[in-house]
Amino acid sequence: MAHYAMLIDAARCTGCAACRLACQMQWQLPPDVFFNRLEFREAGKYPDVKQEIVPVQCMHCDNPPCATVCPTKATYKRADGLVLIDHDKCIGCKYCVVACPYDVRQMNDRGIPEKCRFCAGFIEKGEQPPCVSTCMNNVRVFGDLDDPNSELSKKMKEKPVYQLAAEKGTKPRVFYVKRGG
Amino acid sequence: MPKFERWMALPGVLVLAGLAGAVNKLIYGEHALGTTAAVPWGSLIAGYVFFAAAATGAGLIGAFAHYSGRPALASIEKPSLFLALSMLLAGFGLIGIELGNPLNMIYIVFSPNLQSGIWWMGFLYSIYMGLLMVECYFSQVDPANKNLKFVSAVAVVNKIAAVCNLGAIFALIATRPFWHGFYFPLYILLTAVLSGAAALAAAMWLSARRQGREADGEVMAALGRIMLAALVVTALANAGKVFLGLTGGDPALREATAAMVSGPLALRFWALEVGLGLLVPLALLAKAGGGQRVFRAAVMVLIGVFFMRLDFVMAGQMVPQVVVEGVQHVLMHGYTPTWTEWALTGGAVGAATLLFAFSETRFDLGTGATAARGKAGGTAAARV
Ligand code: SF4
Ligand code: SF4
Repeated sequence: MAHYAMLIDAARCTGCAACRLACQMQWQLPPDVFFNRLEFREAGKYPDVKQEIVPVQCMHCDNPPCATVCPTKATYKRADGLVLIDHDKCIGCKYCVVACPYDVRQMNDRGIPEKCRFCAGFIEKGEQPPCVSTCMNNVRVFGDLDDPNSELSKKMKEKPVYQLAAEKGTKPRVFYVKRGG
Repeated sequence: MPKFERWMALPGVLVLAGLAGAVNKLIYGEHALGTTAAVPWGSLIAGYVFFAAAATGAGLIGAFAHYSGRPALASIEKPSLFLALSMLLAGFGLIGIELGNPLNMIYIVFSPNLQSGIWWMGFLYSIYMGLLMVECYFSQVDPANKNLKFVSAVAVVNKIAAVCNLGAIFALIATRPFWHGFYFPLYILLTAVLSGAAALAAAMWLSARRQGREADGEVMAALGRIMLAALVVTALANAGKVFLGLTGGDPALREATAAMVSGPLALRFWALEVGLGLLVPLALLAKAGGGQRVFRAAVMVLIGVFFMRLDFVMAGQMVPQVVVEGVQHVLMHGYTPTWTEWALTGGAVGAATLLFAFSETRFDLGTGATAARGKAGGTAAARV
């Protein structure tokens, strides 16, 4: 069984937002709905300051609060690690939106929450998610952690990595390369 | 067909406004609400919590009247059942409209997630509604039925479980420090009793006025005493919550508490929740006085508790979550209820009022309104 995950080397990000647009095209999203976003922050101390960019999306948590709180299992975790939403089972209570610590869920016009799907369906055919393939700087690496020969597995060993808000116990499957690591 | 009485025009207009709100929500969906991805729960959730908790509180007081055997409270047993049912139905109406896909609730049965507080809420409150219907039925056809004792006992356990679980829906969300912890399930139980007593006092007083008589002084005084006790404990609990919130170690908890006492929610918190909802009723109830004084305090308490629910739901979501260290787009997330939400909330108040009034004339609640239906009902109502 695959164990899908993503590694983001945020230090390489130029902030072009092509990933966000590619994802919106892939899923035909309206302009105000997006599954991934770029966070900009200031780092360092004057006069030695710089801007850092951190891409954020659904972390496909291994301990996903969104799925724990969902009354009908509309949000569920697949064996391969993807956290998905079954639109037909969703009652639109927004409990998952409230419970997600990463603010990645948005409601669509049908009263159903949406978020990154790790491009389920495409990745099974061996394709890469467009946010990965469109990136000119190879900021994102998507792959199978159970396959020691996957690019992801190799890259994960090269540099120290961290997860966002790991202290919340969500066990995210999106990893970030430590800056200067 | 229930008979129209002049005073019913007001709740009737509220129901019509609510229907307009419901149509608007059906057409425009989430866009009809003031909620956002950052503040997904708004006044309709607060309104639902208000009605569900008040319905539970009214039921608990009815059970207390039943088991305590106090003569002063005997006459509220039946009205408490019908009032609880009316408020619960109004609450269900609100949540049904708030939900994006209420028809998918069928999956609560076919694909249950027993870890979910909302699943338990659906389960426990459905049982509560069923038990209320059974109790209402027996109260009409066979009040002395020996099975009723068993049903009532199960209902008491169910009520406490239902309302505490309602609190746990919020309290179990670890990522929202203002809600998280054991405090809210207990607090909602306490304030459910407060709002339940207030709703009962208001209903008993209005019911008597509808028939052109004064409300039973002993009943009103007993309900006033329950409200007074609940108000004192609520005031202490609020003070404790604010103190611990402001001095606690969690910055998000501190900010949320500050938002309530000195931030964007402060005016509503001090003026409506504390002033109108706690202090003025406390002052009114501390003095001896007639039913009218208790009625006034009850109405203020109901308004105050509604805003208490709203403030609670808001304060838990207003402080932005820290996803990336050092990134904060806004100081506080904003939320303003839309006209649709106000109309729906008003509609629920109107619906609960009319449902209770109709059940009063249709069934024998012991309030005298059944008899008034054929005789003085119409003219008496004109005096209200
Ligand atoms: S990031 Fe949010 S939506 Fe995604 S799996 Fe984790 S809790 Fe769920
Ligand atoms: S909004 Fe839908 S997916 Fe989210 S918790 Fe409710 S039922 Fe589950």
